[in-house]
Amino acid sequence: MSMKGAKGYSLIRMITFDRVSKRYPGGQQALANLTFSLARGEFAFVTGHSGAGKSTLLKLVLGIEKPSGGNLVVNGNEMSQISPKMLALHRRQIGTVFQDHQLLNDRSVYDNVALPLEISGLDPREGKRRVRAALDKVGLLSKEKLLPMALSGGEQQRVGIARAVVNTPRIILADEPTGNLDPELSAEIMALFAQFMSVGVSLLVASHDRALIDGLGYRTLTLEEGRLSAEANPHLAGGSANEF
Amino acid sequence: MSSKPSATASLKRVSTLAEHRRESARALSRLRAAPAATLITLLVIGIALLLPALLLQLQRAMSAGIVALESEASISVYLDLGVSDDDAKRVSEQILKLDEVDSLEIITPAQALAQLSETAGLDSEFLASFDSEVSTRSQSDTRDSVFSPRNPLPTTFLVSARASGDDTLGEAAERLATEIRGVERVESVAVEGAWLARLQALTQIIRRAAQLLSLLMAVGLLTAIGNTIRLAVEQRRDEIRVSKLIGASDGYIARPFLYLGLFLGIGGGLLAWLLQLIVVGLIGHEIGQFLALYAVEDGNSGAFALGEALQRAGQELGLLLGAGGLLGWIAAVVASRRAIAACEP
Repeated sequence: MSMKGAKGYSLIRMITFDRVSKRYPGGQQALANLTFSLARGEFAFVTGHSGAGKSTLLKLVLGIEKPSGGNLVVNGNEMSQISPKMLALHRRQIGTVFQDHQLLNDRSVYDNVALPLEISGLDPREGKRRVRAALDKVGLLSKEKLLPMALSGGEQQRVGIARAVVNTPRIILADEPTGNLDPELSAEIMALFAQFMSVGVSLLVASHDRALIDGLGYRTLTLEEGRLSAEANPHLAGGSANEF
Repeated sequence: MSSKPSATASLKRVSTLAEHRRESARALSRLRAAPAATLITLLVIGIALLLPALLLQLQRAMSAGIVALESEASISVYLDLGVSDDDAKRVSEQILKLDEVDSLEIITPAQALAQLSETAGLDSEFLASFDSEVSTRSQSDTRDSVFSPRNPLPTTFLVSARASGDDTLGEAAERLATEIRGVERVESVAVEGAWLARLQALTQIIRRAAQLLSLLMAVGLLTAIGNTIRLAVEQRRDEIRVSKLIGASDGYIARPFLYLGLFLGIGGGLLAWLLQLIVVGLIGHEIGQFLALYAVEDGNSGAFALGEALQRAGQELGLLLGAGGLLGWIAAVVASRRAIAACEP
């Protein structure tokens, strides 16, 4: 399967869903027979109504949930067989922006952003440089000493984004990353994501902000009741839009 | 080619040390942040360690005294009246050939009489009326003579026993006494050790009680520290969940809790040692008096005793810190592993 696109996408597949299904213990079918792949340096939106399976898809990639069926390979790891030790290493390669921020309220903005570097055991001096650069990129360098509670929802979201990118991940997952941001800031964050994409980072962004998705024109996977109902990829030669 | 990997390894090593410093500092600051709860936990640990430590200390003091007494324990061997010096010497040589004999001292009837006079405060004229040599003469000689009254005391041997193999000195002395009773011209044998055996039995009871109490307290401490760690993990559930989401392993997450358990254990051990000093200071005099009843020196006087006491205090401190730290660490490992595993994102 060719992954070549207008921006010269790599052939390396970072995320491969191969007929992946997910059924929760209560019997709810969250994903069904899902097949797609994301190449290195590729950006894709995942969209769909609430309950369509967007969050479950991200959870599977992050290893929070395991597939009930099919094969899911992320960054070379077969997710249904990954060991706890490998799972921790796997997550260090992924920067995640959570819808509810998931910040530590008893630690400063700086310490929140530094957490992935601490976990990776990076030298504190190098870590400091990276944290300050990440905070500078999201416009929060002046607030590095504040606690998250002292920030607005949008600022907290930006702290979460800084934390996601600080460890130079191979994959960035984002669940409604612009949900609390105004259009101008949303555009800036997307521009930041685009910078990462240009250096080979793969991005999978769950969003139902149609204006944002349509405005950027990246590949879009539309989920409906756990199934891939449509895929649009404007970057492919002549554009591509498929309904399933 | 070789410089690059070594440089990387060096960076990693420094970073790991820095991580441990940071996590231990965080554990300490968490303890300081809740001083009341920390103090209560330390008191529980300290008292739990104190009780068996005190019993073991008492048992050790008594055992040391018993060993000293045992080394002086002797068997009194009384010969027949009228045994001559030559016969007494022959009997003593016969006894000295026995395996368990360490030493033998001969007390002649005259020496025994002199000792009796000293002990009983008898009048010197009264003593002079005895013929000290009479007891070594034959009965017929005595009957026919017009000499002074006969010395009624026999020739006595004070025999020290020597322990062999796994036997205690007391057991060796009992066996030796049995052998000596079979020697010709021996009238009677007395082992000076019945009360020592009772003291030994009491010491054994204290030792067993201390061991049992130590075991029970160890279980109690593991539970108490484990519960403290479990609560600490529970309080940081959100942090643990987030840390796991961004790639922290369970081992990394457990590290500050292991330090917490270790510091609680060491702190409790230190507190137990201080409490022990206070308790010994308060009841040490009474213990000394009790031991003095059994002629056991408490060893608390003199420069040598002071040095020995300091050395002993240092050993006890090391033991309590070690025991507390080890128990705290084990409790933290067990409790944090289960609690952290339960904090899934």
